[in-house]
Amino acid sequence: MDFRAIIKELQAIVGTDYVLHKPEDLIVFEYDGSVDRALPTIVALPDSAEEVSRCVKVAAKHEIPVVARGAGTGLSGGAVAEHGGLVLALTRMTRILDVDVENRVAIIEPGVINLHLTEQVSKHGLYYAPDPSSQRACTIGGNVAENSGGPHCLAYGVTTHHVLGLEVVYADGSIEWVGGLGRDYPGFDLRGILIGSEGTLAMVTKIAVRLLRQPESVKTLLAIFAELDDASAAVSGIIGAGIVPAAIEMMDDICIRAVEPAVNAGYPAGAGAVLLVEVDGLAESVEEEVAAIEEVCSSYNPLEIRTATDPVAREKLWSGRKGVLGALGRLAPNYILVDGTVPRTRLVEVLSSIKDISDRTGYPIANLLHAGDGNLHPSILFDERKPGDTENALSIAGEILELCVEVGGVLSGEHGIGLEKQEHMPLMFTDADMQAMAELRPSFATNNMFNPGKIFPTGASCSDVAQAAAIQRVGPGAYI
Amino acid sequence: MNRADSQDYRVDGISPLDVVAPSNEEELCDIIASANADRIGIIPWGGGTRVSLGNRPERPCLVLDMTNLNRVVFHNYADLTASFQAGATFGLVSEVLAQQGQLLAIDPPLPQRATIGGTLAAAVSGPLKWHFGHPRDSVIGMKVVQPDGAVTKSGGQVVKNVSGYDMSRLHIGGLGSLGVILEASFKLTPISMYEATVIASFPDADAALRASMRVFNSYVMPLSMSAFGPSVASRINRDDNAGTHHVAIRLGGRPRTLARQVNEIAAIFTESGASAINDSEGPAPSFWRPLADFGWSPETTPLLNIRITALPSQIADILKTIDQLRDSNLEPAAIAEPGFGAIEANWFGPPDNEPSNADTSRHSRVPPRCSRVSPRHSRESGNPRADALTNIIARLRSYVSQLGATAVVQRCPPDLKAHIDVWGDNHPGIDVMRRMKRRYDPNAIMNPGRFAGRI
Repeated sequence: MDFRAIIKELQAIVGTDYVLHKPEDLIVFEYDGSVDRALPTIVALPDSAEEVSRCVKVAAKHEIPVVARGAGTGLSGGAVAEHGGLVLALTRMTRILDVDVENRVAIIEPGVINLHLTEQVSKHGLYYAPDPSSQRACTIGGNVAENSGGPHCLAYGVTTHHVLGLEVVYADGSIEWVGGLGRDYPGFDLRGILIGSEGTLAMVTKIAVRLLRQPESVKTLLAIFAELDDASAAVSGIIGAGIVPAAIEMMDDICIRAVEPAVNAGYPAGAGAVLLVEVDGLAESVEEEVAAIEEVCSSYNPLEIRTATDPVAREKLWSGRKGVLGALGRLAPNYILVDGTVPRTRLVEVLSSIKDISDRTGYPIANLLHAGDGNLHPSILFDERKPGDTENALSIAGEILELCVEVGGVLSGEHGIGLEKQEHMPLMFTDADMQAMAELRPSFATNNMFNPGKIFPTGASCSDVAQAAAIQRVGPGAYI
Repeated sequence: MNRADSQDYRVDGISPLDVVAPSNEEELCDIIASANADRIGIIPWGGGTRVSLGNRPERPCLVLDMTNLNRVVFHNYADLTASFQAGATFGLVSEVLAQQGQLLAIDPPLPQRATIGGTLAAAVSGPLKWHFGHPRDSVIGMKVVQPDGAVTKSGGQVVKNVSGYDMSRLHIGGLGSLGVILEASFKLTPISMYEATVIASFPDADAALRASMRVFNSYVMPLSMSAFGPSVASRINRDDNAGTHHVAIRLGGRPRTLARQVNEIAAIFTESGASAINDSEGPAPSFWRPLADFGWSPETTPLLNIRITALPSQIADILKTIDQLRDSNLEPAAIAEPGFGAIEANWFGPPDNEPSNADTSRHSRVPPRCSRVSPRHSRESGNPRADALTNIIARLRSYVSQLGATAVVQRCPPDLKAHIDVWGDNHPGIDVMRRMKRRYDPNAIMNPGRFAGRI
């Protein structure tokens, strides 16, 4: 393979400064937010759909894989170029191309940072609803690839519910819009298929999104419980009372212990679980619903309930929840964040089983949850410097995923399968299920060029998988 | 089981080769697999309420009546999730869910007949989409029978899930072109504690639409908002304010929330020049049911029905265009969902016992730039009405395509279908769609020729 030729061709498209190929430049593109690492062969930073298209054509001609990359905050290895090849980093494509206030839609480039969009449209009283925890850093292009959620997706849904159309570049370099600015288009819903396809089917170069009107009123309620079970039961109680808040978040005693010294949230001694509930909408409905939620929480032995309506006080209530991930580092050098989702009514049982696993293995597991959706993030704390620790932690993560699927849950609520969970796919899906999914790649005529070797297990009977194994034999840069 | 005699299973006037109604999953898979082996086309059939949707089948097919597969697979009411077999009707679904104070936020016309499978395959929704969105937004998992007879699933039973490709997207709105929906799982919604409906009358369509856009831009969050003119009102027996245009809003919530919304909407309507405002407590099915069924119930079946999707700001102009596409024999009657960006436009012929030129008053209201839709050369085709309808479709499509909007013909006389693709003239992603068809249905047995681009 003539890498010099590829580099020259890419430089002619995006400019010399925007093609990286020296090891010291490539190393920052080696990882995302997951534990996986792999060095790309070349990184190019195109600035337009047309440049993306031309880069894709170069990669196709030279038969090297193409991996799209946004901010690299993903947690499942989606942006890791496992088989080397060309990483197209879309972080220069950050334009908000159009904001149509009257129709509450916007057209943006994929490199736009999630929070920036909301900041840009807030002067019109609008916002973009999906709010992954990494929203200060993550790009909406990456959100589209992973169909990202966020705390507020309980009431407002995930990325797919807010993206109306996509401009995409196919593997042959052709550019096309699927969907548009309206709410429904005839034909197969290619937009819906592409969202959450983890960059395996096409490159996304423009995104049409719905914007929502900022709510008139927002109120946050924080309830502290001595027992995790009481907090879990309160979640079911709220949903069972016919209330669907904007968000219901929860964290356990280990999270509390980690975060309290970091953010001084003022959690009382003996706090075993914190529940954070946010309600938004009309002022009257917020008052009525928070009153009803308070009543539910009161019946599950809370140590304390706090509420806040003004932004500063609400932010204070959120500070503990938002600071947890950063604070876990106080307890252990490393953690693996599991992303299973279970039916909400199974939360008590699943959390108790996770505690059993922790007791049995001796690894602390901190639980933070998007409890309203049943989306768990058990975080297994470990130290990669200790021999065997990483393997043990990964095996515990697998055991937890198995547990989630057993009770009717799924492997990933919002982080995607990527590399991290591909081997667990058979827990949920039969070979026939996965074969049907794998047929999407030839349907998009990808020639397996986009993000190869992701989603499906490397040992199953899917066509993709045999190819993934072949890629590994051929070595980095190979493309099948 | 052969039911061909008991019911009309014709599609676009074409009689089925046979009608089969499997009573369980195994029978269903066997029937599909053997049809696939023999390359016999299959038309999946639910309640038969949307059979008019789709291009003309390219060959006579087997009709696969799914109505015996109508089980409630599960209803986890505490999780707000449920799963149903494809043949379950919305009547059954609503009844089961209402026992726990819940609903599935998809409200197709004719719910006593419309099934889960058919409604999803045709992507049908009713007034509730204003608040709850497209039917696909409620789906969390799906099982389908592939043309080879294998059952495959995607998604799950939880409300948040990114495990594997979301295959249900291919089947929702896919008109059964790649497989037969067997089961679908949904997230549910609690039924509002209290409901109210506000209906206002305005002197003209512009005033009605301006008022509804003001509601769209307020903090009020309706469950549904529909706007319609006198030609709809008279057909659902709401001609109490003859000649006026109406906006109807359905609201839900706790007592104070509801009162605030009713008051705020009434204020907006008054300021916007409403001539009459009525509000009623409760879900008001006697108003909403006929409105939601409009264009689909036997009493309101039109000659032509077109579903238009556009931006909210384009709705008023599109409605004007629709209103101009009329003549003495064809009267448009459209219901719009302002703020959502959807219109269902119907064209009715004159009642059989009424002379075709009886209603001259309507004619006189047609704005000057309107031209009659009957083409001058209509005599040559020997069917002036078909020519007039074809002309309406062409002119409406030409207008909406400039706006980037879409117009799908959901009902028209079958002979018109020889000349048009009912889904539209231009399908972005058509190459991918054709490859999907070849990969998933290599023998082209599923609803052959009926989908977009005659896939």
